[in-house]
Amino acid sequence: MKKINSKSYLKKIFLYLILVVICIYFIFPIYWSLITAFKHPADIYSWPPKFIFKPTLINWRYIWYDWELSRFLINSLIVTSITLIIAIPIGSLAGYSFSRFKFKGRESLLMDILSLRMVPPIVGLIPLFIIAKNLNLLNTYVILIIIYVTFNLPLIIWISKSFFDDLPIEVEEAALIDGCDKLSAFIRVVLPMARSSIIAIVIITAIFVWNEFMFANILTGFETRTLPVIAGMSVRQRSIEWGPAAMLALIIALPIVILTLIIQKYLVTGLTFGAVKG
Amino acid sequence: MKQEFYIFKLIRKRLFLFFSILPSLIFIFGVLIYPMVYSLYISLFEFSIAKPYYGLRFIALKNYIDIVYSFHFWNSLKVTFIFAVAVTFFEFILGLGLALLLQQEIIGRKVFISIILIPMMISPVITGVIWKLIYSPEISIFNYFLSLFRLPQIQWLATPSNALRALIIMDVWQWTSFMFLILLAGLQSLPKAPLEAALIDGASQLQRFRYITLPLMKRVIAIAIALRLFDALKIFDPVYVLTAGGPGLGTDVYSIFVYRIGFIHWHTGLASALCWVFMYIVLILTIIFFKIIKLKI
Repeated sequence: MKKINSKSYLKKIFLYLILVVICIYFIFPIYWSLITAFKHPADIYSWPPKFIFKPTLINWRYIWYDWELSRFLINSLIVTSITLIIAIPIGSLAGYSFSRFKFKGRESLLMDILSLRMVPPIVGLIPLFIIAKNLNLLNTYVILIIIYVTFNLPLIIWISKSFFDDLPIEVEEAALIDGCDKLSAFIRVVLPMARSSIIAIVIITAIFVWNEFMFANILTGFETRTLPVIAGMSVRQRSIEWGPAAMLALIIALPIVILTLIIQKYLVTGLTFGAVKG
Repeated sequence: MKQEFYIFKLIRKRLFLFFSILPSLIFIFGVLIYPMVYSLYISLFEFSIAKPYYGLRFIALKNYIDIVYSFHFWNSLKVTFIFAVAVTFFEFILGLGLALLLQQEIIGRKVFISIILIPMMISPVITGVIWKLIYSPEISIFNYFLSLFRLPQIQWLATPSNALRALIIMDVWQWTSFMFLILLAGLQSLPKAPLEAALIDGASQLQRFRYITLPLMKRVIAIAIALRLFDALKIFDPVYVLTAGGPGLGTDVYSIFVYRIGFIHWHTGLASALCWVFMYIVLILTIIFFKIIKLKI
């Protein structure tokens, strides 16, 4: 009896240790860039690297004033929020219809839309750049928003359709019998019930747009540049200013990480909706 | 009177359906499908958007032939595939291990899961920034730890093969949680009965895993691997930030390669052709993959 106990006890400790090591692997880079953001440049470039130092906000002041962070922050916020405002209603409405109506070609249309997720974004980048240039839409919010909406629609449609598939139809039918038309039924009855799914979709889409780099890099100019582009540029110089770069990384990553930790539960369902059930 | 109402209702029903899907279709066709077709059309020409005065020259399939004979193309394919397979493999192993460890209730489970989820949420660009900091030669914290253990220092971004390994480590860092989530969901949706029966029959943990858990998880595993593999082929943001193609062509993944041809050398026609070659390759791979799935499952 005693032998078995100590063996499994040891095994448990060993597994725990592995978990801790892996978590260190995941946490350490973030931790390191976090403290770098608050280090004075003198501390950043000292060797051996300093773990204990005097924190300073000098990097924040630098990127806010010298790099004019406010402009790019506002750009990111505008693009993200408008994309959400357009994409979520359009996508969830389409997902709802895909779920409730059976029509010819429904399955194949769904498959087509979902398979668009497989397309490498670079394929769209070149023609969209040409088109944007010809339409004089470079360096505007419009082109970015249109592209972001389109790239997120397949996922929004798919997740909302999966969700509506599982939603019992009785409540809507009751509303329809009571005299609502389809649209009112959707807005007043179905949407409130779909709250958790909508939240998941909003956050997933927001994360994607907030973090997007490739298209923003090419299609924006100085006025409309978004945060990820600035972050990318900050580390591609000949001599990189690590303090400001790390602070910028913190600013870009922080809202997302906080959101993530709050809505963990929804994330597990949202991401695996298409995967496991599909 | 009654029949009229019914027809009206039918039309109105179809109207709702039509108008609810229409905006999505407009976006998808206008911004995805049409540019893709346009890009296919462009790939048959030799022109450069930066030098419009050179004009448009129709050269049919010459772009594609040039691609086949291009060393850079094959190198980029090689790098991309080595990268994608390697990261998928490591992320799968790590993700599966984590999912197995964390499917049971243990102390601190929620904390562990929260920590594991974080890297996935960080923007790929920021991941590139963070890891560039860690790999940067002058202040590399990595080398500091190595020096603590009296190990030789590694100049991560200095040689092509080291840079590729650095990329792999970074990507595993970022996307293991993706695999972890899918596999965990799969594990938790497994029926308990077979496992309990095996336990009663005296199967060891390893046997239970090999003969019951694994076969039941086949579908989920296949989906997870497919999703990750095809996503890994498209990687761009962190590579652009970290190495922009690597010392020499060491980390010249396909998206970076196309980007360079299209937006640095401005061979627009050639870049479009490269895009489509990539699409065909991915399409063929998808078909092969699904054939394999159908056979094994």
